[in-house]
Amino acid sequence: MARPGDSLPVHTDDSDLVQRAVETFIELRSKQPDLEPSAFASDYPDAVRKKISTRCRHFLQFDDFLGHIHHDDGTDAAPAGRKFGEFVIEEELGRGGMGVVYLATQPSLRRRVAVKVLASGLALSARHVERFRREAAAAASLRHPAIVPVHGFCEVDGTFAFAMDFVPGRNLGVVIDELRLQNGLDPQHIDGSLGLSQKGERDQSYVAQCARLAAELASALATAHRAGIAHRDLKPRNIMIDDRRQPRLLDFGLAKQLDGESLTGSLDITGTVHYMSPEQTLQKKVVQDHRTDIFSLGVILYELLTLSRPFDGKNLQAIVYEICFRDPEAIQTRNARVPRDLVTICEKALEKDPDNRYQTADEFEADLQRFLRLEPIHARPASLAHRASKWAQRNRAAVVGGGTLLLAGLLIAIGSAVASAARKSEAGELLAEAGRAEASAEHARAVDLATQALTLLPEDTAVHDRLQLLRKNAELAATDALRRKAEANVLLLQSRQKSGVERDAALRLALDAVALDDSPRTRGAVLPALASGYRTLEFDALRATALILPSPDGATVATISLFGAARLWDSATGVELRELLGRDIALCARFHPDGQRLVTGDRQGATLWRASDGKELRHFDRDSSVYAVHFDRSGKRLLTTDNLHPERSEFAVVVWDTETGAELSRMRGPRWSQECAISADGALVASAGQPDQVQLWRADSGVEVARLPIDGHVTSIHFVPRPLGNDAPQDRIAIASSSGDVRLFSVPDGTLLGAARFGRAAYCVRIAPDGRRLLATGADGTARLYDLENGRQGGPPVVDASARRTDPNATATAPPLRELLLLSGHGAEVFAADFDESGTRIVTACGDGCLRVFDAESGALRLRHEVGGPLHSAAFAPGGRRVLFEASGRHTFAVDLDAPFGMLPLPHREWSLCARFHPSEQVLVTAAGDLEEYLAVWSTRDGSLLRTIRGLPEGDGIYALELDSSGRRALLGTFGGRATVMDLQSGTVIWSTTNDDKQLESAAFSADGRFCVLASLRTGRVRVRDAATGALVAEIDVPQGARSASLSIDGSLLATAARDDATVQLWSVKDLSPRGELSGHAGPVRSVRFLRDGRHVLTASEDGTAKLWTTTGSLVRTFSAGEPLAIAETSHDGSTLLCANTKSRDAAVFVFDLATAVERLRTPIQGSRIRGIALSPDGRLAATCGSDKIPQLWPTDPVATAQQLLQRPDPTSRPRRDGAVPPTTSPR
Amino acid sequence: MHENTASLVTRALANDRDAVETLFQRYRERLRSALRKLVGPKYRLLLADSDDATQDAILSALRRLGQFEYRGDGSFLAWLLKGAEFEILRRVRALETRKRSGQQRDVELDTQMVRMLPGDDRTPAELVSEQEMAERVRAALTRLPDREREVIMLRRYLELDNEEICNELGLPTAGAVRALLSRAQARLSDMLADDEDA
Repeated sequence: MARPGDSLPVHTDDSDLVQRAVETFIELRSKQPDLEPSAFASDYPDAVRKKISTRCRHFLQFDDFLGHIHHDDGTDAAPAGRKFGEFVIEEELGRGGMGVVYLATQPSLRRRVAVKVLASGLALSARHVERFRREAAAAASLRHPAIVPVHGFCEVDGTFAFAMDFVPGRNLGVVIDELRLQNGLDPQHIDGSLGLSQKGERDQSYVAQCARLAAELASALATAHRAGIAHRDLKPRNIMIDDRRQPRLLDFGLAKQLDGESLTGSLDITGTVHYMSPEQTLQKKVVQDHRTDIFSLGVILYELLTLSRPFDGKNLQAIVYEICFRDPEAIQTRNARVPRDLVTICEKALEKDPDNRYQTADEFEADLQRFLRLEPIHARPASLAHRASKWAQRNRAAVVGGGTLLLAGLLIAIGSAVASAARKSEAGELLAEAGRAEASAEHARAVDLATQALTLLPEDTAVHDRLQLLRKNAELAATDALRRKAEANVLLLQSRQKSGVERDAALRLALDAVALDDSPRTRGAVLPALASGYRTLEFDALRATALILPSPDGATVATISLFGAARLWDSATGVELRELLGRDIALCARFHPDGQRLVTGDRQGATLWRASDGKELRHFDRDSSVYAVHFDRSGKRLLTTDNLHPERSEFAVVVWDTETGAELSRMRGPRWSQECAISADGALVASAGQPDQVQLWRADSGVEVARLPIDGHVTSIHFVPRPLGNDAPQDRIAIASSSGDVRLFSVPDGTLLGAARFGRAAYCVRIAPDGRRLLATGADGTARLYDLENGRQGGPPVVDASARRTDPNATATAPPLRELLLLSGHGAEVFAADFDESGTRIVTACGDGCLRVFDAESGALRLRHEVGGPLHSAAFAPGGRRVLFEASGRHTFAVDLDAPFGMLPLPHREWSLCARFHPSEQVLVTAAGDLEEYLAVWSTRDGSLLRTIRGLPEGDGIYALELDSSGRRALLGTFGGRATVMDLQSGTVIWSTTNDDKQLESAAFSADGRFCVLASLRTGRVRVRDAATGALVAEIDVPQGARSASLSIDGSLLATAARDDATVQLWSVKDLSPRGELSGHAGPVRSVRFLRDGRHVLTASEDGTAKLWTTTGSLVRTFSAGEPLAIAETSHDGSTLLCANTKSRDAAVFVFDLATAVERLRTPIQGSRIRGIALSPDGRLAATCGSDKIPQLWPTDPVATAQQLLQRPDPTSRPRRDGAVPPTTSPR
Repeated sequence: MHENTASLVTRALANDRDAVETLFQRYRERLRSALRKLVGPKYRLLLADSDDATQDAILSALRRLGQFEYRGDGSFLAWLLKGAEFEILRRVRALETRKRSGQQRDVELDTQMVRMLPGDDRTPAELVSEQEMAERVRAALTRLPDREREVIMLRRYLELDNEEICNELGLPTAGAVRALLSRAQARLSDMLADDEDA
């Protein structure tokens, strides 16, 4: 056994003693609750007495704070107490691949140590043991505050172990995990603390803490490296922050020695590979030395700064590949707060080639210290050479220039001894040109030109200096561009977080990003800021929280905050109008039907207010808390529910005369549910005062008229207003309960008319304004619409209503309500729902944080607005323009449905693959259908669905759609091979062919509207038909299948693109003779289209370009997208080109200026695979169809749209006298 | 039951919604009371101890299981509590920022909020000192060795009994739990004393 202690630092302080003393006190105290710290400490030496009693007091404080727990374990068993050699094992601290680490005491030295016992399976040869022992001894000699001393190496019965200092502290790996947790995904910047001592500097920034930690670790490494010991397994899990807040390195000179020599040699897959250097991952093939530690420390520094690992992958191979061949993502894109110098330091440590790294840990540390002292660092961004070579790869043409350069160099080498005057003047010209390039920010070209000049005059120091200057400027510009890009990214991230919640803030951030980095990609990223599509207004979060309700005219919103303040707001602007200052906190509120007054419930009754000035008009005294208030339709009667005796759970429902304040009647009962309702005529009251039933009683006398049996707790009660017309024989009431029952009774007789059942609790019932439909929501994530007409007629009369009381399962015999619609697609329970005034739209509030608006007729989803946080309520404000809702009980929002902008989702029930703008009217036509095919016509102004055209001949899905230039007819190609021309106005089919050519994926009219062409991808047949009759005019077979076909303006020329063909063939339709080809694409052409000017053809190819040609086959312009393109089209006004990559889910859409071929926008807009695109006649709107059933309508210049939105005065805001309520209209 | 939790965690890591739901149901109440103690009165004041804030926080933490590499070393419950604590603190901070940028009336709001706390008979000053204590303890906890912090979380905050802690931390006996807890609490009182000196 090794002699532990021969190279040990002896504990000079007494902290261990104090620690153990306090532990003893804690143990004793659990048995003697009156043990006093000072009495306990008196047994200890003077030097530590005070310390011990102070700490014991602190423990008592803490114990008191948490409320004592009884330490009555009943057992007095001492902890483990196993022995290993001279060590007494106390407990296991951790377990790794190599063995187990125990906390142990070493009685001889009266201290605690950590003992790492190697797994007994590790067979070590004598040579290994010897080498290992030597290494351990060397490690034990290391003296550095950040290195945890190893005391020695020992053996007991063939099992080996090390003893080292026990370091109570936090593992850096865990600290990083927590910082990740704390900073969330995609942090814009990283905040937090590594838990290091601050060394007198308060509030050191996170970045500085990282640098300091790295410096201290580098310093420790330097010490070890000087002693000839490399760590070789540096990783966060081997670094501790001890309880004095100092970093400590564990396992020095231990782990990898074993790994490399005696273990299998395979890579450790427990996560350590992330921190290995390239030469380490290549293992024995390359020499490894101490510089591998420098790389690993670089990895750790990178991870600290960004909270993500520089090299990561799904599996070992991927990670190793990343380590060996890939540059990590730029640090500043992940944490924009990291200064450039620190980035340079980190990148230098992460150089793949050990020779390019810091050569010693000392150098590394010194640079970090310089950085911390704000002095210039020594490392230089070494990437200039890299960048130059990458630049050369991108610019092949320039490389030719490089060839000239080489040649020039060669000439010099041959040895013309004297610089000729010609050479001098040529160099002068080159430098002048370089100056011009520099002025126009073409830095790379400037450097290139100056380099050429230098090769002409290699000895000229002036040229040399000039080149240096240009290089420096180029580097600065490059860094500056990177910085701007990084900052723009940060702004966009922030914008994304705000989008949908704070629209203006989101837009401003996005526009700021464009101002910093005006690239097509940044411009494209403005779209998500527009994406919510609807104007959202957030009421002040703290001040309007718990409850919302609109006034009868919709102009005002009343809210009750969590803290009981009642406030009135302008619903259009979100401006607070006034607070209703009453005698007590408000608990609930409701507007009087006249819209001029409102009532609030409080802890002493209810108060009637005048809305215009917040004056208290009347108080209805109850001496207990009123939880709910209701008016009848006329507002003459007021219903309150209060909690009469909170202790006894007693409640009272009271009916008042609103005008006189007189109490008309009341009903008392055990409080079961505070739900209650008053009928529209004010005659009947329903209250849920008893379990499993609803009591129905007369409002004027309080006489009970019926008891309605309910299964479970009542969650919602609603009187059904009599439908318009005279066909209503009786009043009805709808009730939902926690058991999932929804029941409809006639009143006042209490006959059960119909019932429905949800899988889980039903939450809310609402009646459509026409009184004919019932809407209910449930915990099963659905909202269901029922037919009340059916509920009226269906049920057999129930003879004895009271008999029902004893039979809560009466639903079984009740006639089911006929379900009209099932509104599904909710991600969680649906807490509330509401009809708009017209009864045509339904809004739902869902626990998944999304507000949804459905078409009440078809059930189609019209709007999905993600708010975040469960939504508890949602209601249409009168007028149907706004939806008010409440998220998580903390925010109250209003969504303005009539103020759409930006991206508008056009939800379909079926797949929609193609869309076309109408040439003159402001509508968009989309084709949809797998099971049932239909055309949908949308307003391009607000994205509203204008109509749907059904009854199309069956065709297995519409894959191609084209409108003729008048916009009157639509041409459809289906997967099944059916071609159809229909009249859009009447929705009638003009002609339709049989299904012979499968997969008609391309369809087009000639611009004169006389002919049309359809191409089959499956069979390759292209048929030209008479557009009016469908008669076949010409047909041609394209080998491998026809991707696309188009007709010239008069239908005389036909262009076809075949599958996997890089050319487009032109044909005469008359005699099918070849009329030339468009040749020049480097990859297969996917789409071809004659422009309506009659002179040009547009193609899109997988080679990443779209090309514009003349009809005679000469190339006019190339649009380079850099991603494979499948579709392209131009606007009729010739301003804009839209094209798209359809290959992958996040593939992009591109907008180009047609005249200049400048890319204006690129965006992965759809978030799903794009199938179809359309461009409005003026080029300002685009539509994209994806595989997600929700085509998007969006502006091609979102920046302009955003600017307009921010500058334009809000059209909904009205001039208003300060503090006055807008004039209200009469109640509806 | 412990086995069950382990397998639920595995399923939750694979994005199994049901597993997340079950874990949530299982630990909600304990986490809620632990969070209350951990964050202090501010939690109740600012969030009014609202059910869904806590629910949100716990669920968010659960959903992050995979993203934040819960490696299965250490206690799952302690990890979950830490995650939920961060979520709650993030919300508290957001509310505080909003309050600061708001108007002066918010000062009144504070006292009003104190009055509003149901069944709370402590004065605002008492609440403030309780809040200070909670924050000091929380700061001290962050400096504690991982294992020691975990045992305090499990025993003192989540109020697991010793046997459950044995399972959570893989300790052999209740005695070992007690020894670890004593050590942890002794070190914590050192940290608390440290703070006072500073």
